[in-house]
Amino acid sequence: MRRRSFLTAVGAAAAAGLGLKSARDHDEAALRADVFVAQAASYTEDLEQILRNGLRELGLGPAAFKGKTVLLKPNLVEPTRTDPQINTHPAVVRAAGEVFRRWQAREVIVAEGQGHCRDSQYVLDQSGLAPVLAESRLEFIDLNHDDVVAVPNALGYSRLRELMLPVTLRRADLVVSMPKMKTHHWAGVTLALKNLFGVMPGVCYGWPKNVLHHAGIPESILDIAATVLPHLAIVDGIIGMEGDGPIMGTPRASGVLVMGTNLPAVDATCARLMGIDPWRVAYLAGASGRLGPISEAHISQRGEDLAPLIQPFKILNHPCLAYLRS
Amino acid sequence: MNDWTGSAQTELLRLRDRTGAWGYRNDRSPSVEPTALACLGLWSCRSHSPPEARRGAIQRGADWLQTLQKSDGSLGIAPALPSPCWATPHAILLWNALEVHAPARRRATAWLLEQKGSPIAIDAAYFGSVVGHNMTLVGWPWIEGTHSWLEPTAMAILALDREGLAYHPRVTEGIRVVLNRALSLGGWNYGNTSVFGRQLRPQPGPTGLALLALAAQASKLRPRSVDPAIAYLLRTLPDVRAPISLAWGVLGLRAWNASPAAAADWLSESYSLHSGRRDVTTGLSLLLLAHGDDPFVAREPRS
Repeated sequence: MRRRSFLTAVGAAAAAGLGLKSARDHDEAALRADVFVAQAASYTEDLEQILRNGLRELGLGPAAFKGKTVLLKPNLVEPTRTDPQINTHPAVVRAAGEVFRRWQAREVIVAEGQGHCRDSQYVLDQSGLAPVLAESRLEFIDLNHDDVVAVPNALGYSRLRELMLPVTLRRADLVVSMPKMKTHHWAGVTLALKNLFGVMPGVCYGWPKNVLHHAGIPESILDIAATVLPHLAIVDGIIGMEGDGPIMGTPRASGVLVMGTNLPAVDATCARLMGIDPWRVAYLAGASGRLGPISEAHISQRGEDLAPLIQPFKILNHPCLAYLRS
Repeated sequence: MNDWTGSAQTELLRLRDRTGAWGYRNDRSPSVEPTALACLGLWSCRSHSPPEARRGAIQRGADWLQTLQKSDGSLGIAPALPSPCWATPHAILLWNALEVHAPARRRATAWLLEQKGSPIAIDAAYFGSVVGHNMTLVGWPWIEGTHSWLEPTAMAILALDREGLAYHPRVTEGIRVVLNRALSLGGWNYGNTSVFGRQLRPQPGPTGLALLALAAQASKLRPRSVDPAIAYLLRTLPDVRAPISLAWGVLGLRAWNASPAAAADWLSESYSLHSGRRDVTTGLSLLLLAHGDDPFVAREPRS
């Protein structure tokens, strides 16, 4: 209990040793998912074209977006101008917005409820996203200060009986999780599923979102994903973060964009690209069979071959992260 | 009267809903924090504009807040959200500034004094290298039952200070929390100093708020954390035009009599850049507070 209490206090609970229900008590054998991996060496490439190609490979074309309200949920963690490995790059957000608009989405909105800084405008300014939103005429919604609605916890992995969700999620027909590819010193990795912490309103969960930490990070991740049911993930792995993620790590140029409609499958693929066994990440193991497949055998890989793109990310050298290493 | 403050007040008044309260956006439900800050922002302009012109709106906001007070003295964050109650200090600050609703203020203050963040007893030998702050100190949490964090602790200190409790033991320990969460290179963030040995980054908003809180006991002490924080803000704010962060930063500088003359231009520029937006309520309110006769700043700014 002392260890758990400690982790809670610093705004976290480690993925390992948390007493998650048996990671493999749900069989994913019958589940299949497609994941597309694209190479993109830099943010100056034609990201729109790359995204369009990838989405079409996944069977998603204009018909999937026409007339829909699409909510893009980037990962905006910290207000910083100097560290490109922290926040989802504005070029990726802009490219996704343009793709969905050209496919005649009724509206595209960008929404975030960042966990470390209440002032969204400051985070937008510092991350470089503010001018991109203005140029692209993309509306931004601050999910931390949105009206909220109580929704029953669809999975019940944590002790939270209901989740308070921003009403903007109801406005969206399609929710797109757009994380950065990063290590995370408590959760192991932070990708499309963990990015959903940012839909939880700070006015109800605090800064950092300590209620979720007390309820358990892996458990909360699974509950939020099962309740929000996001429709698509686009992971910015062009420059990721290794080492002391999610905010103090170092840049890792992985040169990939990863996308898919099943978030556990997308995250498991990203973990493999990072040289991390997804079964060692508690919330991914917990997602297996409940929210999707994470085994390679159950994920249909599209786009680039995975093996040549795998670049083992450095993991913080601390005993509490030893479980991530093989 | 400075031009921007007049139009900012007019804009702020237009952002009210039919009940006379404010939401974080003008198309969202009214909430305690934006309502209290909007009223404080309008009130802080009293020496620039006739108070009668705004007094009705301010009083209506203060009365609206009182309708949300629960029997235990606390206020939820909105009519539909009776908990969490972290915005209770905001209501106290407004009622105190206006010198209204004294019984409500007393009940809210009594409730606030009872609220405590969860301390964590740890094995320092094992975990001391991982987390930077003293987790046994007790301040105030955002959400009942969770750990103490910087911003709710600072807001509680401010409210209790205004209620004449600057030297209450809870305030003294709250100040210890604030000091303990200071970053060694200057400033504060949401309340984590270092994790796994890495010093985290400061942010102007929490830094300004922490400086305001520390001013509560400034007649007796000038903590070592003050000067590095002032230096951080003076270095950072010239490039900050996000209204909330800028305004809290300027308020923090004012609390220690360290706000430069250029701050007036920063505030004006910030207003120009963000006026007309749907989600500008809190930002406008704080810009006015940072410019005006600020109820957050001690009656005699510390030198």
